[in-house]
Amino acid sequence: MMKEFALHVLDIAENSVRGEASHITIHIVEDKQENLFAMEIADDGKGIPAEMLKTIKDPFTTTRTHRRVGMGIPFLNDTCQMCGGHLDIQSEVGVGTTVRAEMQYNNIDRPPLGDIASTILNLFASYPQIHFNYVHEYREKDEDGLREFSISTDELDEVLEGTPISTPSIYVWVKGFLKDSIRELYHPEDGEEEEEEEGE
Amino acid sequence: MNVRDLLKLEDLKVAVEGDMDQEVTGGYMGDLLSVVMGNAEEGEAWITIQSHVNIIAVASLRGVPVIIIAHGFEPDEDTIETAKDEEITIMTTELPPFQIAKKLITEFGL
Repeated sequence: MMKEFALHVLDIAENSVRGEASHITIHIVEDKQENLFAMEIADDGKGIPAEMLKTIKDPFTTTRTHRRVGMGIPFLNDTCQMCGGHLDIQSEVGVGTTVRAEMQYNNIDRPPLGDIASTILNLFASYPQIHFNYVHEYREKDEDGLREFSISTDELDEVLEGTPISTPSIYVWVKGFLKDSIRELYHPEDGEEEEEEEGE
Repeated sequence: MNVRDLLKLEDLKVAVEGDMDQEVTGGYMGDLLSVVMGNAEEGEAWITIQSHVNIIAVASLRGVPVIIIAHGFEPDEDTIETAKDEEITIMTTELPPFQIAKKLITEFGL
């Protein structure tokens, strides 16, 4: 079990990178109304052969043979099961892989999401050749719909006009943007206040 | 002995000062919150590497007066705030869980 769920996100996304993906979508859902905490990472990488897919959650086959994935998937599988959920991996060779992890939001053993902004930023900055898309949905109890924040590296590249995200000043700016946007997702009223202050 | 007495060990640092006069009668060690929730007893000092806010819920539910976060981990901000509200003391140590447990046993006979 990893201490922060963001570390699982990093681990699974790096599998996609190693799988030579050019597009990776990371989708986080925190739905208190449905008591659901979910992560889905979809890529268009080389995919996992059916034979390997069968044993991918088993830690022993993982360590005995040299495979491109380590203990990350068995750990994530354990965490999901321990937290009243499950892990689902769909993959087709030459098409891509989708990893979906689901847990009960309110399960006492569920690790906290942790510093997801830094995780996403590091992925964006470390792999400039990959098109990333990040979608984060959140809903309080008794709220009608899910609130959503999404950002893609294509959108960022357009704004940055080719300056790499790893450029120190840009890195700091994107980090602040991600942190603020995710904070606003949880507390939309804070963002409104700030905007009002700016307007004065 | 009470929570304050634990500070005779220089390895322990106070992160949140709760009700330090509460009695400490023993210790419990564990990182899986559901197991701790089912087994820690009132008055026990709880050693864990977990640092998120759920540890305060577990401590409060079980009457644990002090949480010792081991291995150099630091409590999250909302953990600190909630611990203050619940008057639960949080201490931290650089030592791994086994080492700090050993000191609690040898120094205090817990």
